[in-house]
Amino acid sequence: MILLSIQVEGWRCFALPVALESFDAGLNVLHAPNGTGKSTLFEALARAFFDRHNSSGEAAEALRPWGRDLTPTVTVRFLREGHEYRVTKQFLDAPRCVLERLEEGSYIPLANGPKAAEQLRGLLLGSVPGHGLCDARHWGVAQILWAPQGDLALGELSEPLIGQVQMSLNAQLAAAGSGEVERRIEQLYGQYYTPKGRMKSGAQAPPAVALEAQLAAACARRDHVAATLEELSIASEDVARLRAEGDRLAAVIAETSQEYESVRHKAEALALLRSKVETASSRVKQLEAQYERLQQTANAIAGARREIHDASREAELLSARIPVLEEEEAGAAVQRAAAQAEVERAEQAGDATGLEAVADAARAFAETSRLLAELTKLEVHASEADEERRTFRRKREELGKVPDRPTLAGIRDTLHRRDQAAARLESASLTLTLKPAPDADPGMISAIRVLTGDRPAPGSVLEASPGGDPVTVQGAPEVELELPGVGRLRARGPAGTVEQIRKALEDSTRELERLTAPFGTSDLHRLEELVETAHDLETRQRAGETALKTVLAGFAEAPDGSRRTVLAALEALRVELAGQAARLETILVRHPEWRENPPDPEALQRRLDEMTASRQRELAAARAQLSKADAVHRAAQVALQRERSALDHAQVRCKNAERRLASHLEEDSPGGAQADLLSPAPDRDAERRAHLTRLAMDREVASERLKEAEGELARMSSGPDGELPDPALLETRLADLRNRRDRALQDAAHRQGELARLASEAPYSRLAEAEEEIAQLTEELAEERQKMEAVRLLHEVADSCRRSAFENVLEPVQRTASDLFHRLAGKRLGPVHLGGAFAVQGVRPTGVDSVVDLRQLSGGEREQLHFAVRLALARELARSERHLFVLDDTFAATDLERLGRIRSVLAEAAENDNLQVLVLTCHPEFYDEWRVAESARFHDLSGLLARQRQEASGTHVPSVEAMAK
Amino acid sequence: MSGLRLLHTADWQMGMRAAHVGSAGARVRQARLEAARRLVRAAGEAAAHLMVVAGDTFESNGVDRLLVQQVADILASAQIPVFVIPGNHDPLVPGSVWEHPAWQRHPSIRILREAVPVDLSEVVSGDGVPRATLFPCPLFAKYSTEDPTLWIDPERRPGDGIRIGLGHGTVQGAPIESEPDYPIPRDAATRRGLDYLALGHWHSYASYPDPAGCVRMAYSGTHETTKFGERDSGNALLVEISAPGAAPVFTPIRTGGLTWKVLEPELRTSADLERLCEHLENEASPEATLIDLRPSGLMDPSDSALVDRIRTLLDARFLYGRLELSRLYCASPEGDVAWIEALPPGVARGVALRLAAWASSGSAPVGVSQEEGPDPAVAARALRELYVLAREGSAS
Repeated sequence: MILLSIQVEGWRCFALPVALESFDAGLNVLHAPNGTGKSTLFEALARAFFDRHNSSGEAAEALRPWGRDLTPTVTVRFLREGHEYRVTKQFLDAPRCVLERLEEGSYIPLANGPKAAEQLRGLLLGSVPGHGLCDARHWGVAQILWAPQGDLALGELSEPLIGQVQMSLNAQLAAAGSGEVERRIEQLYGQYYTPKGRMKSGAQAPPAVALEAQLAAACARRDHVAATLEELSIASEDVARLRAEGDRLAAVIAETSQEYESVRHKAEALALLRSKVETASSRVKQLEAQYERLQQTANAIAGARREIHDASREAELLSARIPVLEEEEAGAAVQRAAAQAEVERAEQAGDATGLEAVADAARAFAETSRLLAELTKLEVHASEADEERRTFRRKREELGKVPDRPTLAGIRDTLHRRDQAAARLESASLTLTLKPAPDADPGMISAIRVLTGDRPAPGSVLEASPGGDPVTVQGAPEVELELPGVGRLRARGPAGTVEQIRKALEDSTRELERLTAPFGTSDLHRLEELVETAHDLETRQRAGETALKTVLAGFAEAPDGSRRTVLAALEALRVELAGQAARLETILVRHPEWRENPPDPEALQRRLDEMTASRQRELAAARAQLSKADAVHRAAQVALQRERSALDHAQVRCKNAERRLASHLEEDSPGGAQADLLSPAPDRDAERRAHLTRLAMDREVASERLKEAEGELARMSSGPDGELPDPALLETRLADLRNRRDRALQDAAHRQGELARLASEAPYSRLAEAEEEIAQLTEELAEERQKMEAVRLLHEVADSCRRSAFENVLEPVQRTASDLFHRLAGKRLGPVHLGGAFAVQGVRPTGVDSVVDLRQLSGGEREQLHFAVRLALARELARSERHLFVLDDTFAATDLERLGRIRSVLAEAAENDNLQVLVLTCHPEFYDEWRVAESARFHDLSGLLARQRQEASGTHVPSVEAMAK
Repeated sequence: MSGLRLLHTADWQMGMRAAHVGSAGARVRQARLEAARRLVRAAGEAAAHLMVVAGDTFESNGVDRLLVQQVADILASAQIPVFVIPGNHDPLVPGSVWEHPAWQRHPSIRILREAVPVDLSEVVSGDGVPRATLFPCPLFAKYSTEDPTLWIDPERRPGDGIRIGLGHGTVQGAPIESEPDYPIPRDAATRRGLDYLALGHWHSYASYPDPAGCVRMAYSGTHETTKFGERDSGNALLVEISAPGAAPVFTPIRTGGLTWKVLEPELRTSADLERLCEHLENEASPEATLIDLRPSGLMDPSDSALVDRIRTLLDARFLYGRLELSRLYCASPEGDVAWIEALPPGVARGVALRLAAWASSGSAPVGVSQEEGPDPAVAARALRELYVLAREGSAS
């Protein structure tokens, strides 16, 4: 692409239209001082090719000139593949984009709007960002060809750009047409896959996607009808099974019905047989009962007879022995009475002396006498202590009210404070003394009036006489006297202190009066004496009370457990004393001789003990004799009683046996022959025995018949089928079988209905159709998938071949860049090294094994290295088509010498490498060599703008014309 | 020849799925109905006294009930009695096709639902027609290991006349792929005292001579071929038996209308491909022909147009056509690579050479190492695509 002209209007600093025209196909220098707008024009060129004309936002708004409401517009004319084009792009207001081609002298529109923008981007393989304006990353090949100000280094190249460069490089090795085939491969690949290698989706999805969906749907249909077919099969089996079950149950019902009838007949026969057995059994039991009863009666009669005989014999023997025993018992009773009398006599002999009572009285007399003496002594001591206690109490009461010790201490303290205040007042008072002179005027000193002072009181009149005693007046804080005929004499001291002392004195005086008033004196010494006296009396009183309490300790507790007062205890002592005295008198009344001669209790006791021991021995002997007699008597009584009882028992047994015989006759006498058989009469014994024999024979016959009936019953019950089933159970089972059969048939009918429904859906036919469709779709899908795999393979192989080719030509690019760099910076830094995406990796100086990073180079060398790489790539891109190569003030760090070499290289590029070179600079003098040689076209932007300002008419569009070639 | 003439057929498999022929399935099913009609007409033309269908009239009990009606109508159109036994595909079970009311509406059709002798004299009579008894062996389940003819009492009764068995199962030794289902001894006719045992189950005609060389049991085969490679099918058997104990006389009657062809031509040059094209273009009755074309050998991508032509012929002219190219490999790089050499040098030619190497690797002899690469078929396809792209490029 060759630039012919560019015109901007309403674009940043260019409010007015500005046009740069007549660009040379070779070298071009656009120069102007800084801030004139060179880079703005460069930006407008890029936006003309790459930006969406309908871009908006803050960045787009910034295209407008400051403070003006103009519409940014850029128009570029360019040549490509021999055709001249013109693009006009207007931003923000009524945005538009028009691409025109010069045809027969006129510009004819090729495209407009987004399509025109897309075509323009396509020219240089540009791209468009998601939103906002483009930056260098979107410039396509211009990313290599156009170097923005201060950004000579190549940025990260986009994938399409790398591909484009690779393809361009390949092209030098390939004949024309290979690129076209590659493009078709990519187009074909693009029909199926996204650039990232994923299968396309949505509206652009390949046919395989739709086929897969159809196949999935067909499979779903197939699965559904297959399930229905399976259901049909299951339902069919169910119906068959249920029908078979119904048939089986019907057979079982028929069989069971037969069995039921058979069992019912058999049960009736069994019932008859059981009745027969029962009758025979009853007969046997009846005969057995009769036999048993008659046998028992016979046994009872015989037993009763034996009993009567035995009991009568025993009674006769006992009746003969009883009189002997009665006589023995009477003798033993007499002997026992004699022993009893002897015991009573011995007991009565012990009580006759009365010595025991005298001994007891003597002991009581001695004890009471001792107690009386002790109590009397206690009473004397108590009375003395009580009297002493009373005396000290009376004396203390006579002493009157006496301060206690704390009160006394308070009085002592108050008195001390009062004395201190008086002393301090004394020392603080003014003392005014007037010593009358002998020759003093008596009239003047005879009536001295105290006006102010404490002593004497104000208003007092002091009388003095010439040469007489001095007159003294005290006061505080001032003392003032009036001397008649002389005047007033005033003396003044400090007022505050005296008042305080005086108040303290008054307070302490009042306190002292308050404290001492109850005791009738404020004399401390007297008060102290009173206190001491009162304390002494109180101490003695308490000692008396203590002594009294000690004496009366034994009477301190009342009978009810409460504590007695001292007086109550004393009274109790005296009552006890009186009581003991009374007891003693009582004893003396009985034994008056003891008043003169008190008894000896111990001697009396010894006598008593001796008498008691003798009496005890006699009593024991009598009692032993009584016990022996008593035992003999009781033995006789027992023997007599036993014999009498035996006699009674024998008589009772005899009577009982007789009653049993009588009762047999009464109870078991049904009358007639049976009555005769049961009679205890001895003449019936033979007849009874005969009857018993008959009964035994009848019982044997009946038992035999019972066995026969039972045998028959057992044979019938345990027939070939074993235990006979219960007909009721059979009936229940039959009903259950019928229910089950009906249910099975109902279920069968129900499933039959479902079966008919399922069959009507023709699941197999639908399955056949679905599977055929699936087979068809599977075949088509396999075909499509194979095609897609083939296309992917084609793409991958093409990509692989391209990479291989690129790797083959990367070396020439590195070599070209190295050559250029060596021309600019010398060979010292060695060859240039490029990475896979043409990224500059560094240089490898001679003798250095590893690649030296760019950061190790100087700023100027880095500029020259980036320039060399960029130009090498640009030369490759320009092999098939001439391209515009732009450098916007890119050599800030390069010295003039190397800049001169760069000029030479650029001139060669324009001449030999199919590049149109445009240098934007603020130092046009650097390129004077070109100007002199007329090898470049110079465009003076500042001159253009100056003319514009001069000619600003609103309609004229100033332009920079060729200045030199 | 006087005697009893019966038309023996079986395995109509009406409604069968034909997934192996994809979209042609419906037409194949329709062809089976048409073959049945031809068979009924043939029975009339052969003056058969009766027709027996030895099972598997339907492919499944789940077929469309309209189809059942159609088949019943076809059978009823025969002017002779028709005896049908259910087979293992359409066993007599609840919900089976045999419950369709159509069978009751056609008195000439008797669905034999029980294994009890049927006195044919009640329905087949006329001058010179010998007395005969039919011993049907209907099936009641899909699978069984029991011989369905076992019930037949071999004792010939006085009134039996010609004893004809009608069964469905696997004769021992029959080349049926599935496991033996309803096994039938090879000498079942002799064992059961039958003059003829009409069998169904195997789709190809097969007969089983007794030790004396007399054939008394046979499979008639299906009346219409069901798949590629199925031999001796598409017929019915006219069986004539003059008297009890007489040897049956068989006359095959063609009933099938479809032609199933498997073509496996070996291609070496483009001329071979052109000849194949011509062959397909000249094929008679293509509308009733199904082709399974499996060419093998080598093919140059430049022959893609011919392959496309064959594909079009198969799709357009034939009832069904399948083209399997998996055994047709692209020509090796040493072969005809003129079109590759005509490509512009660079990536395109490199791609073509690499793909061609991979595509031809599939044709390498067994034991010879092949160049590692993708599936040769995919590579061949990719090569053809590249050929088309290059051709389009040169055309434009």
